[in-house]
Amino acid sequence: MSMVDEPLYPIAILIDELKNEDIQLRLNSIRRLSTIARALGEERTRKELIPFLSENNDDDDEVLLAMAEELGVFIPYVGGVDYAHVLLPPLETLCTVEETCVRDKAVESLCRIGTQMKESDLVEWFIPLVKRLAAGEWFTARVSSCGLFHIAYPSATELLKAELRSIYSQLCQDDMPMVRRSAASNLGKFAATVEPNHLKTDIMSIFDELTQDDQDSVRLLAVEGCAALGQLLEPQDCVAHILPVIVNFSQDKSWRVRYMVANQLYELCEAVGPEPTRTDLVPAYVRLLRDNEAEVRIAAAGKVTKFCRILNPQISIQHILPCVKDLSSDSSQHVRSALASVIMGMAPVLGKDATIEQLLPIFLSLLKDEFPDVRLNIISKLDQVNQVIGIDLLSQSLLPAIVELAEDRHWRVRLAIIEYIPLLASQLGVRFFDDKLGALCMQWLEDKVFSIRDAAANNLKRLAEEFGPEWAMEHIIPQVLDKISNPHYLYRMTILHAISLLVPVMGPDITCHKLLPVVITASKDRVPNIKFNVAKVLQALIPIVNQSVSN
Amino acid sequence: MSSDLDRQIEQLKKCEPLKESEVKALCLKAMEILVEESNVQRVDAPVTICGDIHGQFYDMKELFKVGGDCPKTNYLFLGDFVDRGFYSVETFLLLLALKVRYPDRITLIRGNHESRQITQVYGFYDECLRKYGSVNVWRYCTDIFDYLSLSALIENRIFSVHGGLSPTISTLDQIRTIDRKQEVPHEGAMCDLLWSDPEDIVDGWGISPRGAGYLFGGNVVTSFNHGNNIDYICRAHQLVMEGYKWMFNNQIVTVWSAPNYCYRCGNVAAILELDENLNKQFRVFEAAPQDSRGVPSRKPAPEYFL
Amino acid sequence: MEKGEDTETGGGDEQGLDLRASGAEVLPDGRSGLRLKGWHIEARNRPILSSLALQQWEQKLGTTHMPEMIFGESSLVLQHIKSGIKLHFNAFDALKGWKEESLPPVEVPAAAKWKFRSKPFEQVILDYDYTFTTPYCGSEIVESDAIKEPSKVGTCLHWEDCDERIDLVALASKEPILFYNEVILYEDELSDNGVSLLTVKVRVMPTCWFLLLRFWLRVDGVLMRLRDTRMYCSFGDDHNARPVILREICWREATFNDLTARGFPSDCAAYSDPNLISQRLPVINQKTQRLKISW
Repeated sequence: MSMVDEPLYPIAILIDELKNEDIQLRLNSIRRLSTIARALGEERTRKELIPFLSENNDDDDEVLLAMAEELGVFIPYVGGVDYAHVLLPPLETLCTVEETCVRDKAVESLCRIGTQMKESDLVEWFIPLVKRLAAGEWFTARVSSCGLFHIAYPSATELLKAELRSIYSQLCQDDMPMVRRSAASNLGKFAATVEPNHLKTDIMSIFDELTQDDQDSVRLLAVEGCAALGQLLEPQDCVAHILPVIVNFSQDKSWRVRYMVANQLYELCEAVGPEPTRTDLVPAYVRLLRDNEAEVRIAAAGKVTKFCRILNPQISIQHILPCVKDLSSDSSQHVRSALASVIMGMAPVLGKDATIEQLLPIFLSLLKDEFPDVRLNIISKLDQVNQVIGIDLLSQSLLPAIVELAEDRHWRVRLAIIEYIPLLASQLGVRFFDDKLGALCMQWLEDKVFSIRDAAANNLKRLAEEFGPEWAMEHIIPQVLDKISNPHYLYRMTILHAISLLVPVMGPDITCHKLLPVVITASKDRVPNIKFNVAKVLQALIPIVNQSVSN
Repeated sequence: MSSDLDRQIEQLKKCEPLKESEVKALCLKAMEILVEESNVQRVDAPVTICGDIHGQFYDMKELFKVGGDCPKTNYLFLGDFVDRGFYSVETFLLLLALKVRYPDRITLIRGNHESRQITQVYGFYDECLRKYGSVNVWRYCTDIFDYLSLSALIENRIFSVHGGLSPTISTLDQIRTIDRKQEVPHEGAMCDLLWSDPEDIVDGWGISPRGAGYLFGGNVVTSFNHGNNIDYICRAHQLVMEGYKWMFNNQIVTVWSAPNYCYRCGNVAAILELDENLNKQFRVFEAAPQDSRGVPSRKPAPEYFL
Repeated sequence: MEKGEDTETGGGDEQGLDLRASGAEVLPDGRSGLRLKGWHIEARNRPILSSLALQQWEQKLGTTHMPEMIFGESSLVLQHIKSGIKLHFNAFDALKGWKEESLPPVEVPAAAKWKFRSKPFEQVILDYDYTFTTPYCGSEIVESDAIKEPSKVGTCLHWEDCDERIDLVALASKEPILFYNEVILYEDELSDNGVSLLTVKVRVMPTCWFLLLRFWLRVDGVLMRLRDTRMYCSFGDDHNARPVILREICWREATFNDLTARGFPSDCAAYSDPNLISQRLPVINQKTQRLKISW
């Protein structure tokens, strides 16, 4: 191996590998770029490797994607931030390719590199790159350029800054919707780097144009920009410029735009502040809650609790609650379901009285909804209501409905209730449990669906863990053991299972004196399945029993 | 040996098919067990009886969630495990594996779809080809079909068969003398047991408008049950919107266990749970919810049809 | 939970743009359909009839045997709002057609052997057409306030033979599809001896709608029938003007013996998809008609 060959060796291998037909091999070599760079040393990496990569940009998208990613972390290999600019050319080319994910990755890597570059280098290399891409013939270049402005801008001179703002404005008026979309979605990032006085003028006028674009997709992205921009402006400017736009968008002819507003509403409200929210956004929100399109109502309904937190309870009760009432009987079950999953959270917001008077009836009607999902969503959030109105009231009003659900004809609803029981029990306490829920828990052991019986056995174990063996001895064990003589083998099976689960909780003494005898009797059952199961249970019992004996 | 089988069962429960070599071995083991079974296989109570499954694997899992897992629950499946659904392979192999692992806890009898000819038209053959790239698995399975019993008798009181009765059969012993180890014939006693249907309008025997296939009326059932000391007949073979259907004054019941048949009918399914005293309970269940199944919801993709 | 019901929302981003561009409004609340150029088009996919409903239908149709799977509440409706013309496709009317046509039952291959076995007292009963072949080409009615006299309703629409053909070349151009759906009306497995299937599918484009009502029958080893009704309507510039609706009826039929004689495969598995083999079945009836409104 001569000295002349050695430095060329890694590049030669790379060249060879990158010519290989097998894409996997090509991918592997790209992923080892850093190793090759290290072997070459910084200077040769700059002078030979990077230029080679620049030229070698005609390959499978997967390979190009890997390349774009590698280059993003290559600064150390080219000699540090002073030389970071050499990485720009290959990435610039990748910014123009057809495949979106490659372009996106290239933009990402450029941003990564840009944030580390010196100001002077940014002016010398980065900003010209951005200007070139923005003026590119191919729309792909212009699309990519939008994602680089926020890196370029801060280091630019006043003159350059003005130029960049003007270029961005042009991109927002580009012929191709894809370019305008990219400009719209990057506007927030860009705006964050712009000075307040220019923000109010140049950026806001760009924003205004985008909000009036005739492509839904562009307007959609502008809506997302509202929240970001709002946070950059002074509240009064926000009210002046952003608020009218949001209100307009909430009545946009495209449901997708209205849907976006509904989804972003909370962030938008934070941006404009509590007062304007109260005066201007409430009507807009009410409109969204009553929108024609179910998807919009679903998105709006999902935010109702959050929205009410910003308002004072009076306004919520006056304006929002009527809509909530209507939504609880919406014709679309998805709307009702979305409402059900958040409505419980309104209880702490509205306070005890309003909860009792206004919300409880709504909870009840959703608990009786014909679609299981709606009922399920209410059941799983009851603890939030408990904290507000207290156990007694909760038990009086909602628990009858829960008891009804415990016998719901959809077994998955019954299952959800059972799984909720231990939580309910720990919140409501022993006394309450004994009165109401105890009977239910026993009843489930004899449910006609196996999965329920199984869950019921598990439930008993968790209750015994929660309330302790003494309580269990009084309230669970006798009833369970009683059922061992059920004439149906599947039910006897459930009891055996329950016993085996309770053994570790009850401890060796009770096991030996109360549980073990029952199990042994079951070993004489005439159904082989039971006998077989008894054998398995006994095996599990041995360590516990041994413990007792040795004690 | 048994732990291998346990692993295969766990795999099949996740709806993953076995390797071709594993299928071959499984079928060989199954053959040894099935060859010992009678044409009228004796089944002890308690047992849960299930009708057609037709490759609807995720709905069969739902069935087990409602009825309980085998071997804790005893099962009798009345055939038609394959064809029409998307997972005939996994469905049949799971049942077969359970049979080999717990031969006394599960009984499988033959349906009219457990046939070489039918499976070539209605899906099982194509599915095997697609999932294995060769016809071998289909061959192993159809060979095993030949060994499946034709009927079952629960505690000498309840007669179970896939289709129905035959005019050439009035006693159970006559069934026992059939040589069942063959492809389902186009006519004859064995064919009738897997193909015939009860029919309200008929008095005695009738032939379907197709010119082939028997229909039998209430008095046929009455005299068969009476003559053989049977309480009632339990069969499958016909789609029932409500999952099960009694006929002829509770002398014969059709049990159908494929909910939302063909993924579009919207019917419910049922299984018949018999306890050790032969007390009966129908458990009705729906198709597995969308998010727990392998096939995406059926939304037609637009096509430029002409 | 609704089984067998389909829901359709606005579709992908591109479709949303197309819908907007053509002025279409998707029906809200999970309904499947749209309003476009003066038309209201809606598809409903529902589960099969319950036993109770089945009994009621049997009474109304005067029959004791019906297809195994009747999607009785499913339908496809195309209504022209201004003129009140409503085309609809449903199982009940299709089965009325079946009952009226009342073809004699077709024998399966095994029947030959069965003739020898059956005893004299075993008759072939129930000689209804178990293939459920129907001549149904759709139902049409005028629902309009403009028709005051009840007698005029129903009699003012009829199909008149014409020379025009549906422009299939235009239809082959890939205009964006704004709405697409398939509705099954009924299906029977012929006791695992084949398939009998009545379906209708529709596609709506910015300039027209086009649908195919298809009755597909295969009796394993015996015969196949394909009865297609194609309907087409091009949106004019005036959405209030009476629409011009063409329909083309094309019936094809062949026995398995015929096909084998002509050198085609004889196994049923080769004939599972009518789209692939329709050309092999000779046409036995074909005509094009135009919907005439006489008031």
